[in-house]
Amino acid sequence: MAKLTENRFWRSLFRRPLPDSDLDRMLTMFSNFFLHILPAKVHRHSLKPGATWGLGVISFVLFLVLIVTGVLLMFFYVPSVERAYRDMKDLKYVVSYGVILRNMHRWAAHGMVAAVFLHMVRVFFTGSYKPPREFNWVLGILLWGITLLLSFTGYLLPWDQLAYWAITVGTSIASYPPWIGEKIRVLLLGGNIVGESALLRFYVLHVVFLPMVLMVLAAVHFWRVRKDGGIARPIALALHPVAGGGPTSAEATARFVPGPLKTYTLVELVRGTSPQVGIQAPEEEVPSWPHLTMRLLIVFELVLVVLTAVSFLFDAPLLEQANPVRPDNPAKAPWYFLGIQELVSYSALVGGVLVPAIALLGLMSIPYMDRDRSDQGIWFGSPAGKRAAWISFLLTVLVIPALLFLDSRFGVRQVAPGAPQFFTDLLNPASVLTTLMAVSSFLTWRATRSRRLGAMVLFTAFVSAYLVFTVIGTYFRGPNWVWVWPWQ
Amino acid sequence: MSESKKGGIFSRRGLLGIGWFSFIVSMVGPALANIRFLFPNVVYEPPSRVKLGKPEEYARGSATFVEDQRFYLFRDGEGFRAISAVCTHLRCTINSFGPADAEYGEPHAHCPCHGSVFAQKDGRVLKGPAPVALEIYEVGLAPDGRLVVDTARRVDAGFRFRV
Amino acid sequence: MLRIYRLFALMSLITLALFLLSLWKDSNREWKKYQDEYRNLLIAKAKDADQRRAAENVGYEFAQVSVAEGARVDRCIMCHRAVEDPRFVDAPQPLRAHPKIPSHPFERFGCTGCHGGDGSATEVQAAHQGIQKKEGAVLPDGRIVYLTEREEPLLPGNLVQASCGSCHLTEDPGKIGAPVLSRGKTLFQEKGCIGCHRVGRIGGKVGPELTFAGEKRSDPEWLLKHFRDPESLVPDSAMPSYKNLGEEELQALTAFVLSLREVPFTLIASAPLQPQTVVALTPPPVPREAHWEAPRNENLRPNPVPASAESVANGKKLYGKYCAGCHGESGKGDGPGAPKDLKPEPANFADPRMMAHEREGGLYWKITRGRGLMPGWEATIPQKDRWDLVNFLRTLPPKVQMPPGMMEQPHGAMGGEKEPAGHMEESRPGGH
Repeated sequence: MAKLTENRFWRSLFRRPLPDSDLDRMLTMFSNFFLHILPAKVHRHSLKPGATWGLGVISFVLFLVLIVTGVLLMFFYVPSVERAYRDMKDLKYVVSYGVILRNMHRWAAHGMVAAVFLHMVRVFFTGSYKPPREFNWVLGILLWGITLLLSFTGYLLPWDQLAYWAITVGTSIASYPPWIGEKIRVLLLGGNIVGESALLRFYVLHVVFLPMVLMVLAAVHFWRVRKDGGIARPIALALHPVAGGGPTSAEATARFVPGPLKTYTLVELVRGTSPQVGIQAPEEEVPSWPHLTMRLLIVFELVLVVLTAVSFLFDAPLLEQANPVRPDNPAKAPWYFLGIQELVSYSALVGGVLVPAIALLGLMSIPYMDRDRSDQGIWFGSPAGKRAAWISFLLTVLVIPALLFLDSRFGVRQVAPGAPQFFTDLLNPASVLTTLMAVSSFLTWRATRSRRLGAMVLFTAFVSAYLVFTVIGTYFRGPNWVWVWPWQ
Repeated sequence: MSESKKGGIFSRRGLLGIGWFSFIVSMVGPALANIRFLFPNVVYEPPSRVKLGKPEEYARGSATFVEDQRFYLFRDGEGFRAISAVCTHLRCTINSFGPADAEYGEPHAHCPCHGSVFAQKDGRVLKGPAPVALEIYEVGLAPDGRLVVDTARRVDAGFRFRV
Repeated sequence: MLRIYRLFALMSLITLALFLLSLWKDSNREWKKYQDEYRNLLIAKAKDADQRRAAENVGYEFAQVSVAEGARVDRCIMCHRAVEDPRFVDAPQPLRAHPKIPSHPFERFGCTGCHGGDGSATEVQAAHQGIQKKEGAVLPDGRIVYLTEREEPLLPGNLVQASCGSCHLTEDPGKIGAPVLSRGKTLFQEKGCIGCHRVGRIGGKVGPELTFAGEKRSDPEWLLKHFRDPESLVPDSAMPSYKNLGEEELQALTAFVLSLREVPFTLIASAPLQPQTVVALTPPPVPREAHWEAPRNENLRPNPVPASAESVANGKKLYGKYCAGCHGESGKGDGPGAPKDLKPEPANFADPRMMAHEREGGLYWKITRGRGLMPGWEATIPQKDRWDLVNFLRTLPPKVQMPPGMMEQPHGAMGGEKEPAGHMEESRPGGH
């Protein structure tokens, strides 16, 4: 061992010996290319599982898995109508490890869509979007959008019935905006139907363009987290010891060996609550190595284990080859677009354009409305916030079925079948629900004088509605988009 | 520091040892498995065995180039033989065989890539960088009376399939 | 921190276990079991020590028949190892040898073209059963039904005869060895199916058209069930039940309905193997009628102008001015100036075979005289310049070896008109 490590080459490769003091560990974190995305020291609060549930890291790990499996799958995939489906069969039946790689890619893609969404939910409910993190929240929303597009473009590639009709339906939703809708569709498909050129476009977007965009945005996203002083945590933490999870206070202080090399001036450049001499006692930060790195490794392994286990138990779906003359009935978009597909079934304009646009803009503007940092890093901010979230959730879950029932009995099309489209656009479950959400959020703000509570009501309602509509689209809609029970 | 630094599986050192060992194996293992993944189990290439026409469809003295498998089927007074058209140097396809000339006293073919010259009679190298003679393949007859050439089965230069 | 290390060790062990499990799962393929059986049977059938040793060395292998250049691949032989081995005629399935069917060679037709099933699959269930498909529909009265059927399942037993009918449309199925199909066809006529269903250009309009019924419903079980009790599968169907027919008769009818399909022949079989392109090693005779022959004495006229660099350069200049319009920049006969479909088309000077046949005297004569739309240049281009053109034309064909007469003439065609001696010396490669 000594022979291996004690020579010029080894030392040129690893500039520092394996660290054996906390100071050395921190210096290693700082000087190592792969580790320097992490801080040298990390606050104990950030290490508590409940602070983040590791959702950002999970999303990132899934993305790594997707890149590795995706590049490998590319070696056996030709994006052409003649070859694509056959290549899927080959992967399944005659390529060594083809099944497991395809399964992992598929489930990691779904997992990443879910993880990124949950990450957004976590960031909202812990108030982690507050200044100076406003724009990072916006970046996060964009990353969510890119993730959806990545998954969506990958959906077409197997060229089976599921892929073909999901993309046919999905791109049709995109064609609903007035004037530009049809152009967007033609641009996406490279033609008027889902065919050879659409397959090629989706392939290029899926393997080159979107991953590149995602990597750049993600890099900025991570960089900003780091520059904003790590995970958002309660401002008043210095006064209250961190409770539950994480390293103990004793570890935090005992492990830190102050040395002459620690320069506060450098740390001062990093915004946020950086250590300040004389104010904090005891210091609540621990060296990232091993406290953070070990936890990251464990999360990484956890993701791999769950993903591999799921890939063992469930094969990625592969139906019969795409057949443009025999649509699946019902033909459904990918699950994360089923909520929109449900909305489109009431009114194309409102469900396909207005509501998604308002929702996206609303989401992005949250940190610019609610700027009060006093409750950042605390789940739901306060007991009142928690109550507001619960009420908003329950109301949404109750109101949506009620609205759908009213629509099926007393909707515009039932009461006045001949009424112009304008009235359907004006009065349908999607528009009514959006209005209700906006109004209740406004009223909450006026009544409590708290923007945070108003935002809480609005965001909770949005997330709940997204989930409810997705569940409805997935389980309660049958052939011809009529109501069915999930077990039918 | 309350952790024991002494040996034993459940000490810090023991746990880290188990952890890192399993971790590295389960990272390197899949990497190797993925290299296995890249070796194809089935290929979509022309089969090595190719069925040609019936012997009487080939005139005496004719030469037939079979494109997919890249070989010449010659019929001469003695019978049929199949000689590879793939240069043994770097696998270019050689030109067609030409007659004896002042430089080479027998019918021969040039490889256009690096100038190897092969004799038509037995495929041996007359000139150039090619290390060994052209491959000669077995010619046979299928049950339905058609010629069969299998490029996976090599025979020596004297081979003739007599009808 | 020890807690974290404990978790790390545990998670690493689980990760490792799952990796090993995935190795096992990938190596544990269903078809290996059948290849084991095949090897054991081969060993049992071995007649001497050599055969036995060979049999013991039979390993696992992937195998497939690629039909129509990969448009369809059949991997059935990965389990059905012995389809072509007469020693296995009595072996239990999947190792039984296939009976010989005249003029349907295995390597051309594969398996699934006749038998159905998913040829690309290497698992019994997927290969034989095809893909389960559940399709929903809403009836006019608002009820919802789900029709379950299988896409491309294996055609069991005698139903495989349906495939004979898909290609042999005009033949009597009884005469091509498909008695069940023949019986089905007769039944279809006797039972008056045509009264309600249209097939091709005849038939009623009460029921759905059946011209390509075998394509729309490729699941024999669905069809059998439908004959017995149409309403159970197609609610409100007006079709009478045919359960009073015997099992055999229903099978025969099913076979006939399954045969009603339009399958591109490219998915059934590879194109018949033709003797490959014969490359005659002597320049082939240029067909007389298409060829423009100069008078013999003109042909033999020697070129007085040596093919020097200046001569070729001058020829090139003239060519660009007078000839390239029709014969093309590079002499390929593809110039833009020639009318479309011009017959005879402008000569392709880049064609080595054509140029090997041309003598310089002949070229000179043709440039001088012209033919059809090609003008004679006698009055326009001075004599010396015309020879320069000839010298330039000689440089156009790519340099290839065009050795004459090293083989016996493969065809008699050239025999009758032996070229004068010295022909090939004249047609020297260009660029001298």
